[in-house]
Amino acid sequence: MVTQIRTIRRFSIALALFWTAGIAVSLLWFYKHEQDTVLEIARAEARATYEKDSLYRRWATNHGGVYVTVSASSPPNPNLAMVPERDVVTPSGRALTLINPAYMTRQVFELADSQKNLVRGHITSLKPIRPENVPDPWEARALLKFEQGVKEVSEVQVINGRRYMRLMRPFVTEEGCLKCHARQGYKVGDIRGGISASVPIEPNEGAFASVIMGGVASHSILWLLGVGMIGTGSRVLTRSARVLEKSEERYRTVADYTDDWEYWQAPDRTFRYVSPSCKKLCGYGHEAFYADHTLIERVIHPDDLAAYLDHEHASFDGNPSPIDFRIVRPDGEVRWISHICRVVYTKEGAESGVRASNRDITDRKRADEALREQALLLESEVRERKERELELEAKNAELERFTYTVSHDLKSPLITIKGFAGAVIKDLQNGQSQRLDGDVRRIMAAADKMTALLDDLLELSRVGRIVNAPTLIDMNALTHEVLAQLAGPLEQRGVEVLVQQELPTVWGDQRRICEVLQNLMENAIKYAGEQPHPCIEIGVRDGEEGVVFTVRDNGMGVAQQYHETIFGLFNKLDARSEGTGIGLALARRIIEFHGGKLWVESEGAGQGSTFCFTLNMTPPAAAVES
Amino acid sequence: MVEGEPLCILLVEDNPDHAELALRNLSDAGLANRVFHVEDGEAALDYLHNRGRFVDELSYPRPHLVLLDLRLPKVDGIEVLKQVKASEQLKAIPVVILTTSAAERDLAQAYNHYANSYLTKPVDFDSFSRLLQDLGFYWLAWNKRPSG
Repeated sequence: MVTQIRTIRRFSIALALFWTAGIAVSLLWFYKHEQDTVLEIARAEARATYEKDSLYRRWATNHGGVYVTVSASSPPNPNLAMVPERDVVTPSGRALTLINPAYMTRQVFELADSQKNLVRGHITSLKPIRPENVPDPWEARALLKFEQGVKEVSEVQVINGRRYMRLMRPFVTEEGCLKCHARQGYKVGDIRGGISASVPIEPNEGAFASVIMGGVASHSILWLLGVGMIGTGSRVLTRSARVLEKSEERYRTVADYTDDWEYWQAPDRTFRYVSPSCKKLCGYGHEAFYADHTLIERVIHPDDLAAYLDHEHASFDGNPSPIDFRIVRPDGEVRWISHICRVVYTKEGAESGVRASNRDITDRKRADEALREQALLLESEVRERKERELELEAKNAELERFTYTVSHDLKSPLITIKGFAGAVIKDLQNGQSQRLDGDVRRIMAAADKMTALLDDLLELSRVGRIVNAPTLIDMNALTHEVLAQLAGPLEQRGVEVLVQQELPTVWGDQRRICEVLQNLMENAIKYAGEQPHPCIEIGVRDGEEGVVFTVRDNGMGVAQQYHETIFGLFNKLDARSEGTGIGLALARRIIEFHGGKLWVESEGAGQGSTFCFTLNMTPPAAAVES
Repeated sequence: MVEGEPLCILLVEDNPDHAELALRNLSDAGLANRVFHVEDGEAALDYLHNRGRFVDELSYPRPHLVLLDLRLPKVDGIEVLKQVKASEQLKAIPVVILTTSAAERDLAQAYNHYANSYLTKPVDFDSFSRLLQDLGFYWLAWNKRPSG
């Protein structure tokens, strides 16, 4: 901006100098012109004088001269001695002598010479008859020029310290001239000499000086006027430039002194303004953006470019919305930018591009990222803890159920033992012995029952602690192994066994899965009921849970309401049946331990039942990981 | 002691040994003139409703007292209690829970379903005898019940 004021000042000075020069040239021209005018006037005066002299002379010539009274100043002309009647006497006795035109002219000239400011004439010739008529050097040069055909010669000459306009014209021989000059050999039409007129310039120079003074004065006024206007104009311009400078400085300071990267993009996408801070933020200087507006598309991270272009399109359509994107600096560093913009309108309300602010939010993004990661971590920890809590709750519930069952079922034989022991003592006291045998047997049976219960409990707790690594089990082979173990009971009850071919292989603890199969088949034999042709089918089917193994029988079946009860610890549908009622509870526990499910499907009493189970044991590698 | 109609008790007990003990003690107390023993909850309900094999009302009369174990095969004791107390015909019959369980949960559940009394089987033989005698006397001799 300072440069602009300097420019204004420089321009003003140049203008003033130019103006001065113009005025000076004009003045010079005026001076010269006036000078020429003075000379021209003098020349015209000389010319007029010449013409008049010639006219008088021609008059005299036409009249063959004039007679004047003889006096000292006009003695008889010796050069006219051969002219008859040169001297006459009037009847009254006055002596007259003939004055020829040349002589008359010379006399007039001599008269003029005695007057200071009068035009001086001179008649001259290269071959003068009278010595007075000898030409001076200037006249001699002019006479020579006439002989070459020049009709007029004029020049300013200083004579006796005074400036004169000298003009000379040739003097052509006429008839009257020959009266005297015929003897010199002149013929009519010959250039015999010339008449010069010298006009003093001094009198005109007075007028000239005053005209020049006037010219100088008017030019000075004009010059002052011009310089004044230039000065005023320069001052006004400087002042407005200074105001503009102040306002521009204000806006430039606001715009330039920002850490954000600000810019104003014209509707044709070129940049009208880019803050210098862009260098720090994106690594490119603002000049780079001015030079090539497509640079911004190369600065934005390729993955975010499409989103940015969509945003840019919407913004120029008048729907700007904030957007975050990444940029890639020239050194390869990636930064996060928060970009907001708005449409710019001119005073007339026309759209004039988009004004945008870009803030570096890399640190914030990183913090957010870290926070989010932490939140995710925390969330997963909470989830894990909740899962563990649920697991723990389930374990607790199971433990409670277990304790309850155990306390009840273990107490039961104790009551029997003590009850019948009391009865035995009473009978012994009373000397009665008929019930003793039966009572003692009851006591023994209850003790056996208790032993069995304790063994089962031990087994159950062991199932919860199995440590055998899972192996790939061939279910076909395993089934046949179990069938071989149960060959006795099967044959005894006459059970037909069908094994579906191609049972799949599964991962699991082979010994435990064997127990499950054994349990289910024993149950099938035990609860065959009144069935005359008991049959057990072992197979596999595809269900919602994946591969489902099935052990189907055509025995007593299980009514709908007992489908869950039968899996309870020490639960039996038939109190008189053999066993403690741990079999299905144990089987289910084993299957659940393998990630599977065990359930029963039965249409009801007498309809037979199908025990189904799934296995979801992961292979060893995955098992080790988990 | 008690005149008129013979007193009738329904004993619901899955453990035959416990049933035998109960019957002997009731008999010793002179109360077991008509004790009917069923082994599971389903049979108990069938008896009370005179269904299935208990359809004959003369052979299987309405009991004056039900001694009910909680842990029963098929339908468990609480379910039997619930159905008895929900039935307009049966809810007046006193139901006494006689069980090995001293669990607070069972106790609360039983009373919540309107059990008339809750007794835990004592392990000690003499206590068991006296409990059943006292029980019989209380409910069948001392306790007043509506006629019919």
